[in-house]
Amino acid sequence: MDAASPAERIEPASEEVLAQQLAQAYHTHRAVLPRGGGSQWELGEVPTRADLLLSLGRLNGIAEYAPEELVVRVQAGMALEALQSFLQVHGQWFPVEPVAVPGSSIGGLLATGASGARRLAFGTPRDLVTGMRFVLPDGRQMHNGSRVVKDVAGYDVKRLLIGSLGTLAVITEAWLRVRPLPARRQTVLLSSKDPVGPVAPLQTVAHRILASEFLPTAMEELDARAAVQVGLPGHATLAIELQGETAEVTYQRDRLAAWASKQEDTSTPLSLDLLEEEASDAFWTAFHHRLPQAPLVVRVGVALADFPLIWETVIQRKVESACVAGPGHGVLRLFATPSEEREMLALWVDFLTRLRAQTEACGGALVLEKAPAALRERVSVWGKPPASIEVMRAIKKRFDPLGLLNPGRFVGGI
Amino acid sequence: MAKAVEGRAVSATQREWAAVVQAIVAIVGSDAVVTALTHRLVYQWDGNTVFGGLPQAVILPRDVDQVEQVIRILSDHRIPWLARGSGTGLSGGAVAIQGGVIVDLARLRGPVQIDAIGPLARVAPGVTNLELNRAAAARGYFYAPDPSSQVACTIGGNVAENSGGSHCLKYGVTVNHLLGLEVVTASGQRLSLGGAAPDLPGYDLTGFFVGSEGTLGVVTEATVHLVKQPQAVRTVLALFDGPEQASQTVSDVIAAGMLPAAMEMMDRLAMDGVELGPYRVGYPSQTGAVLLIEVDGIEAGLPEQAEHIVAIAQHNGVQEVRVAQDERERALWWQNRKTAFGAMGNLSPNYYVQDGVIPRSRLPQVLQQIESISHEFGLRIANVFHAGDGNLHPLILFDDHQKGQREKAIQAGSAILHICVEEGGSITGEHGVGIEKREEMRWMYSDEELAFQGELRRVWDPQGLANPGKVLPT
Repeated sequence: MDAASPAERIEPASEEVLAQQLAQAYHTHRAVLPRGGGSQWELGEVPTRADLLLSLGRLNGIAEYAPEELVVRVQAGMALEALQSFLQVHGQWFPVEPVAVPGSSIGGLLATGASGARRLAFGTPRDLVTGMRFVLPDGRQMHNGSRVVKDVAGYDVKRLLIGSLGTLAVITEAWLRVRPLPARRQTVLLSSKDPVGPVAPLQTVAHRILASEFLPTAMEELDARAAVQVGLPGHATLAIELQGETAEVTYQRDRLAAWASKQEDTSTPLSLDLLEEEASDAFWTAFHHRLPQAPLVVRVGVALADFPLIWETVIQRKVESACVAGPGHGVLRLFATPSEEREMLALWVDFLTRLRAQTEACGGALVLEKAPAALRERVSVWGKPPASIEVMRAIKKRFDPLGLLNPGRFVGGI
Repeated sequence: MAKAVEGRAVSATQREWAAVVQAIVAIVGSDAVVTALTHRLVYQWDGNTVFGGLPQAVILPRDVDQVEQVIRILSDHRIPWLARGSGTGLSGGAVAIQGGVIVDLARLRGPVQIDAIGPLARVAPGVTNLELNRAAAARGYFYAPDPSSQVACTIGGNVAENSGGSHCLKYGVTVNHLLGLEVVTASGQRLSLGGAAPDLPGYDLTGFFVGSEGTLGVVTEATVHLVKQPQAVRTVLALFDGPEQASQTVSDVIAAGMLPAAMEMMDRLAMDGVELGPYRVGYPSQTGAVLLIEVDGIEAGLPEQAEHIVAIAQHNGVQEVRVAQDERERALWWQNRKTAFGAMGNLSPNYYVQDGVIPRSRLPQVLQQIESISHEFGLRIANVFHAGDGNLHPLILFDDHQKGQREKAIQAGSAILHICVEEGGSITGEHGVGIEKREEMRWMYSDEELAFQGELRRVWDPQGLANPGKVLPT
């Protein structure tokens, strides 16, 4: 969203002031772009209008914390990292680490619905918000949900806002579910010794893990290029994170080691490395935050049953890029620095068009999370609008009848 | 039973109504249209025992096409209707208070299709929660939301109510396990919402549809996420002098960094009820509260967790604590707990189930307040509590033969809900708003917020025909 630079910037210190300023913008028909940490500022089409940048930066505190209830109420502008530091002192954490450059705010995380590798065990922001406060474009302040995990009173308006990319309302505060910090964290790295790497044996292990009693908190496959970028040797690697009590972590790790040493299904032996505690955390930090520093980030989401088909197309790609994929959740990402050369661009356009057609044909979606302008001119950010797009437009109209919040940035031109 | 009122006449004239019935018969066949009073009476109530209403007709479509065509006709003629599963709901959500038509989805129950890669299941709305769970179990999975009524309640109803159960603290509620829905909206439009693929761009319409209590349209298929059956389970039963010690134990377990799959509590009166039923555990008479805690996961990690829980219970002065020795014992403890509502029939001619949520740590104070309400209204109140997630089910005992007791029970229930809201909780954790709690919605939301929710409802149902009179106050 590089072209959007609003002339004016506001940074309200309270929801009250934010509501007044929004109402004012509404009455003067000015387009507003809410901004949290800015780590996913480029997500979406370039807004068709941008008059006012609304920074949530000063709404950045913990509003209420109930460790015994495993919930915390956080203002939208608070940095995810600051929240984690705060919770850590109390032996807890918020189990989301998005695939994005560092600096995510809670509001931005919810607005983008972003998640990372640990969705395998903990779900996505959609699963971790119990209540929310938000302000409609005309300045009406509202709340939905509460601090309790089970609450089915009325319509679940907050769920519409999660992943809506700031096109419906401005999130100002949320009740989040938190988790106890695990006693132990370990990451098992299984890699193919062949540098080019037949990935099949890794996939076999991944499927075996999914079908077993194991409960990994993250499991991602990295191709050789992605492995190098996160500081591993250049081999295709399957990274498996295990969290929990010592006994359960040790049990799973030992079983994995036994599997790796007796790879029955292939002649290619797998090598096993172990990252413990801080080293394990550092690996996942690199995984989540270093890879997306590339100027092109492509996200593909398909049902797991269709995953092998998409994978086949991806490994045969001719375009230079790093790839990571979650065989347990169906999200695959490509990271690249495409050159501006015309032939290279044409290769990318061709590849993405084919991959998107294939993905959409099996009910999935390909999204350009980040892309150079030259590429975006030829490949749309969101792809084919969903079948329910008319309902989405109608919902947008109820929230934002004048179309002033992030106009044109979202799916189907919303 | 309170008197059910014959639903007020729908807007159609007699002649038009006859034409509508004829058109519907042409689609579904005469055996799928119920108009005889004796048969309609079956639909006068749902699981609630307070609010009734009589539909003018009940339609039992066989497939999605029929559902769509029937709803189109109802929409064209502006006839109110509501979808109904097994009718086990407890807030009056499946009762035709404005007359009109009930679309009974009992016949939409094709086989559960399980895809081990995912793992996920595609389920027709008329399939029961237990049937889905049995199909999943055969493949080594389970479907996590497990309402106590799972023997009878349907997946369509579970989606409409965003049902919970006993395992929500760790595993979440229905919405956390739904990937996509096939629906027919109130305007008769067939729509796919969400799907098996992750992170589909667009608004989370699936999330909004779940828990909308049949006011946006009807679910014709749900794609749900299944969970691997844990390698092992440990179930701990702890008997305490009273709820205070049991409650402290729950807090201490959480504080120790454990996340049990379930933590269930019953007070003395609830125990008295279930012990008279078929699943008797044999609680000692001096026990004031029983706590059932279940941990699951990797076998290697469980003995330590179970021991830790036992130690915490002992620290809180437990009378007796034991770990289930086998599956038979575990099943007995659970059946004992899951039959608690019905068991109230052993103690009282009538009972009224409430469903409020409080921040878990406020339990001792809230139970004291409930006791005061019990004294104030002169009605006994038993308490069953999903202690892990703060979901309280007070069971208010009354006798309908005594004049005014039903009204008192309703008032007592409302007073309890008020306390829940004051404590920062909710008027409903899993039973829904239905008819029962429309007015209490005002305690949770301002007029402006309620009006806005109403606007979002009209996106799906501009004429206000789908399950009218539910969820929002009038």
